[in-house]
Amino acid sequence: MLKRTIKFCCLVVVALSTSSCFDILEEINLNKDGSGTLLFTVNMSKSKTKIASLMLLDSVNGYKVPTEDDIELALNDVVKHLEKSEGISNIKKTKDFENYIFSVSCNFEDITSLNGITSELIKEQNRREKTSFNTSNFAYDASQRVFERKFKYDSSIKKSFDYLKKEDKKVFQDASFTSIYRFQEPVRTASNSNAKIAPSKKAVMLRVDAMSFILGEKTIQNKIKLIN
Amino acid sequence: MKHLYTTIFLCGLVLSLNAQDLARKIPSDANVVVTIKGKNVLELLSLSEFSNSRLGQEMNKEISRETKGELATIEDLGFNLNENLYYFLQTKEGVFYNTFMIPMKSTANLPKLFPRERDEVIKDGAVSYVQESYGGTVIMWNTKEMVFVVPSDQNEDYSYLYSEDLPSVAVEPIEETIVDEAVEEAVEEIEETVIMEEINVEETIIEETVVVAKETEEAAIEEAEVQTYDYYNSEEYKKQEQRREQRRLEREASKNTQNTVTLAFAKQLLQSQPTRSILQNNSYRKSLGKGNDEAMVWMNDFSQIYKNILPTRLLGANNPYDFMNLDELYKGMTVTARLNFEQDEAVMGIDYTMSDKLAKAYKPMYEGKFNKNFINYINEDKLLGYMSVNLSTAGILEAYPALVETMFDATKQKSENKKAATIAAASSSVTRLFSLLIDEEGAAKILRGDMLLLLTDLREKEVTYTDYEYDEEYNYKKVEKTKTETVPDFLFLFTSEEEKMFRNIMKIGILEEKVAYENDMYHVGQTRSNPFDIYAMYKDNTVFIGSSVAQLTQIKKGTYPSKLSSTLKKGISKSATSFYVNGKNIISEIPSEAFPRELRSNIDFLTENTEDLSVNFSKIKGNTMTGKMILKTPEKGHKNSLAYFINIIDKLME
Repeated sequence: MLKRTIKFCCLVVVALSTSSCFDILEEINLNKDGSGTLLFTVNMSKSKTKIASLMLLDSVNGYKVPTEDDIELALNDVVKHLEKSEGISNIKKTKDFENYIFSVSCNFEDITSLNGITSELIKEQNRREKTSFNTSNFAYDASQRVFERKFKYDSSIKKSFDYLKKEDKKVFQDASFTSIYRFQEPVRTASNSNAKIAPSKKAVMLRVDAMSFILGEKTIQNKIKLIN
Repeated sequence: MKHLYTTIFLCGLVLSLNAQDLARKIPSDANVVVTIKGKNVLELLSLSEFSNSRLGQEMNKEISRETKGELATIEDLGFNLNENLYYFLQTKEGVFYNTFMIPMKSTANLPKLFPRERDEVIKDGAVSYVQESYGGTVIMWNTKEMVFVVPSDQNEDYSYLYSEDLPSVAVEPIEETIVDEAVEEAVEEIEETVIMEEINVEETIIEETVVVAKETEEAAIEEAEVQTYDYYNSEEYKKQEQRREQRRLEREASKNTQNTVTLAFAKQLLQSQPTRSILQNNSYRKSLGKGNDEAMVWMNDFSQIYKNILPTRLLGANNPYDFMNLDELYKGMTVTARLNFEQDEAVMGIDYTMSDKLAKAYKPMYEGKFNKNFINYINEDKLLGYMSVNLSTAGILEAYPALVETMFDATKQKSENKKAATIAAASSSVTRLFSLLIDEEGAAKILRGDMLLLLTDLREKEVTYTDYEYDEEYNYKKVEKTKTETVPDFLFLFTSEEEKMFRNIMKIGILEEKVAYENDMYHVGQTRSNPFDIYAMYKDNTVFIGSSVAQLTQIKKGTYPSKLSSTLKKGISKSATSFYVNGKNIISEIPSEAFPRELRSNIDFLTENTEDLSVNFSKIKGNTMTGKMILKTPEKGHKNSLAYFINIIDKLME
């Protein structure tokens, strides 16, 4: 009965949690020759009580709640996928089940290698769901010294969101996406008006809240011109 | 049409009136009877009041939509609002007949309910009807009554759903074999050619030959693929198609036969009376009570329902129910539920009457002693809810072996069933062994069987989380931040005389460094599998487990502020199980941000209109266990508790 009591309290916590926010952080350090490092982090620490409660329940809102083993397996799948990708090396993963922070980092030989990580997945998504996302997320023109974070908004994002139950929509209310791009040369301009350029001009940060992104009000697309 | 059926039933459910004239048409062997006493309902809420509600307006709209504007209101349906509405379930040869009976003032408008061509109204002497061909559902009426029969055939043949007709798995290997053989032949041919060439010609010629050979190999593979086994034009497939068609025709014939039977069933209901009606069934008559209720549900003979729900054919040769004496346990079991809408509460009374044998087995389980000290740890002013259980561990341990033995008693089963006899002998041995090994009185010292779970508070708790702080160059570092979250506080207590065992278990926890001990209190900190701090202690033959150290400290010092009304005190102490939710306290404790956005503007309404819910189940008296569910409703703003529900639905529909 005590176990049931704790599960019941977990349900109360899940019901009372005003939101279950998460932050996604994409960090790229780009070298002059187009090689570099990528760090991708998912931070769910702000919702850790809710997530810990959720993980004690078998399913919520009709969805099966993943166990730690499931999450571990998913992370391993990401690493395996990176290992198979051409031009990707030094793959590392970190997991923190106390705070629910998970990250994967790697080195890439060039922008083609970086795009190669996700291009097949995006192609498959476009084929299956009839969407039109860019199959390459990044571009770098070494001669023109232009780095680009590509993104083409597809209305399927909002459609998928609308399809969610009200309770599930709450997950995105306080979520955000942050990108930090660092360069060896100073930045001349950044096309995204929400992006901030560091005083040293060698880093650009862009933070977009999930709801603005889903509704297509803000984009993560950014064309960054570097000084020759 | 499904919407229409629902609307008709809902209308009837809400509107039907007093008297029992249609009950005489319900056969005495009906398994379930639901009665809606219209007069009582309309005394609480008039038809015009209902029609003016949003729910009523929606129903009117639906009627208008379904009849393409021919009918506009519930009144147009022609229900006779001076009589009762009935639903009953009868099982016959594996078919469930769900039947609704509605008295009619006029049936002139009923044909207008079926404006579509496919729903043809057929006139057959004194009755008219529409039958849906797929499911066999019948709506039939004469000048005074309407019946609505929904059959559910448990014998229906579902074999077409299984994989018998799917392409054979042998198809793939055939394909592969043909391809493989062709490739092997080609490769052998190529190899021979290459060897011959190697002997006689220059290297360049060999290369050319290999190229040619490769081409030959590819051509051979292509040719082999063309020769692939064509399953869909095969004899095997044609035979399967024939078998499928034959089964389809058999199913259709069986469905048509069942549709005819359903039609005859409906006609018989309207045109005649059963030899013995439900009014001659003593159990049903007893359940009628004083006639003050708005609705009543009576369920009879569970063993028959079980048998019909789970026919042997569906469960296969190893049907576990073949080995059990369901009749022994469930024969004569009835459940009666009566719904009453009072001025300030809606009450559902439930009587659960069981066989002598089952009552004898269950009684000792529910003879638990209530620990009066529990009352000292309840503060009704802050209480959000509780659940109490007063069972007897000793009674349960004594009763279960007897129950299992009765359930598998081989002497009551068919003598030729050897498997059942084996299971019966095995279960008897196991239960006997269990009885000998377990010291019921000893086990009851560890856990007597009385437990109380209290949801004592909703508390703002400060929690830490990891965030990032960025410097001006967007280098970041992890920082720990705090925020407040609303978490529930609970207190769980149970009687146990085994203090030593409790302390030893805690000692193991301490040695394993999972438990901390301080001030005669044990603390289990948050872990990945437990997001709450839990404190435990032992006092006065009671184990206390809770999430608030402050509350446990007060209990230890004897300063816990207890307050309990006599109603709740009676509910906890006299019931076998009791459940209570303080709706007002919960609504007021929940932070407004936790409500769905659409409800936030209505929090005042919710606070004003949410009261208590309690459910109590008594100990067994005679052969009956009685339960009562009471939902308190506010008097202010609502004529009575039925009007309250309609008003709440209206508000939610806004």
